[in-house]
Amino acid sequence: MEQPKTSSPPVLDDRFTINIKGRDFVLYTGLLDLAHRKGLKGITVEAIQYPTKDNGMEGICKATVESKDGEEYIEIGDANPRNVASYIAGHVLRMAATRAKARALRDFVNVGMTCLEELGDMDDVIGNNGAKTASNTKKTAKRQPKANPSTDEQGSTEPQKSPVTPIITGSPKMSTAQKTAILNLSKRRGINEEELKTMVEDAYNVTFDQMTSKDAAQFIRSLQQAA
Amino acid sequence: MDIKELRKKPHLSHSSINTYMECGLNYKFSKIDKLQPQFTSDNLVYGITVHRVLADFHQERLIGKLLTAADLCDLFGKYWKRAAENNESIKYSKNNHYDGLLSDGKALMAAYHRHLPKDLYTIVAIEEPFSITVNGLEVPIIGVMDLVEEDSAGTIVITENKTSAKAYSNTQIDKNLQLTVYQIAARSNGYKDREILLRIDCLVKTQVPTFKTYYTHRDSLDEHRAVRKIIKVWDGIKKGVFIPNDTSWKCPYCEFKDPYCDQWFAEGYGGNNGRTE
Repeated sequence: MEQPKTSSPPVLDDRFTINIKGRDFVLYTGLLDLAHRKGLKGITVEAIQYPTKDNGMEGICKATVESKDGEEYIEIGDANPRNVASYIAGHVLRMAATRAKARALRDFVNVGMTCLEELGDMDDVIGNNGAKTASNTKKTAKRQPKANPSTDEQGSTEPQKSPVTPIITGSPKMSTAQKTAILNLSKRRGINEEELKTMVEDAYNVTFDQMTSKDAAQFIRSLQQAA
Repeated sequence: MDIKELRKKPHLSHSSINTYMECGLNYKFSKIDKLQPQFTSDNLVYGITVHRVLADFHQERLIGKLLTAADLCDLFGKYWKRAAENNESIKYSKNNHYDGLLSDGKALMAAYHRHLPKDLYTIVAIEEPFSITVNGLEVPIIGVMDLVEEDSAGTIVITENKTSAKAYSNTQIDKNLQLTVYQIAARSNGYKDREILLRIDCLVKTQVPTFKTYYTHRDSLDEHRAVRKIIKVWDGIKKGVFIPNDTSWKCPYCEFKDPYCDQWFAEGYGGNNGRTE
């Protein structure tokens, strides 16, 4: 007799966990994978604080995870040159965004493990006095998923079958007037289009044309203040 | 709302605030004493003419008709003739004259048409009068917005048309009080929750006329600063503080210089005998 089919709730795939010095960590890609299976609708990221000399180059971002059921999970992530690896120090806002997204995703998918990408450096795991060697890092890298990997800016891998642009459902796109204003303002500030694109990507983790209206409004304010 | 009616009651406007800040005595002569200016400056008449043409241009846009460059030139000619021909009260600046400004104006209109912004948004209002009250100010602030538009996402774009002898600096745009007042007015008059962008469309009267568009933005702190400044201006006016600014580059072109300003400075002067040794 055929057994009735039951659907069990999605769980985190073991492929996306990693053990370093006895501590378990989840990979961001794993959170994303699980979030998709649990009905992720979108992730919105908002820069709360831009890194400036006055605030010790600390960037703060807010991430909002929205499910198809209408649930919302909001978390904050921060990053500054003192709590990120030296090779990320120039991209603290992006790191703050990643941390915020990871924390909000963990709440959504109900995973208590810290996300590896939330860490500033391996020192955070093994301690400054620990035996940090290149082989440690290589070993962990081997355990990452192999299927269709693509590397993001943090060096983690991501299966291509479940791409999530860190935008943006429910938030309207940048308007034509906002786009024109940004181009006009940046030109007046001596910022060329290439620099502008980089600034947007650093600050919002999206391309210029993908900006939301809210991001654009915020960016216009920051350009204005850059006078 | 009729701007002529609004002007009959005590009020402040961007222009009067600016006049007071630039030269208190000029404000006193024009707004308090209501003295008849000795002449009208050619720049003023020219600027008003350009405004009229652009208002017509946008009025036609509102009904779906895009005027040609030739149309704009014709309109300039018509309005300039009406305002300036045989008008002996106009004082022309050095090297300016009726015919010269007529042809300059037409060239300027052609430049405007040539450099029209690519994004023509939906027109919400043209020459829109407003009157707002702010806390701590006993009189309303009134004015007229040249153009209010809205893009497809609902962003409001408020444009002020200008003619200028040279291009504006960033500071002139970013600290422009007139635009801040417009934003305060827009927020008070139904656009509180909308994204507002401010723009100056400037026709630059260089030898080869050019057209420049400047976008800018104001936040709540900018609005607060503007209000504090305006309240202080009103405070000064109420107390009768009218400090002359006789080192301004505008003095030689001031319509009150001769005789009012010179007379004011001479009051109480007893010649050489009056010198304190």
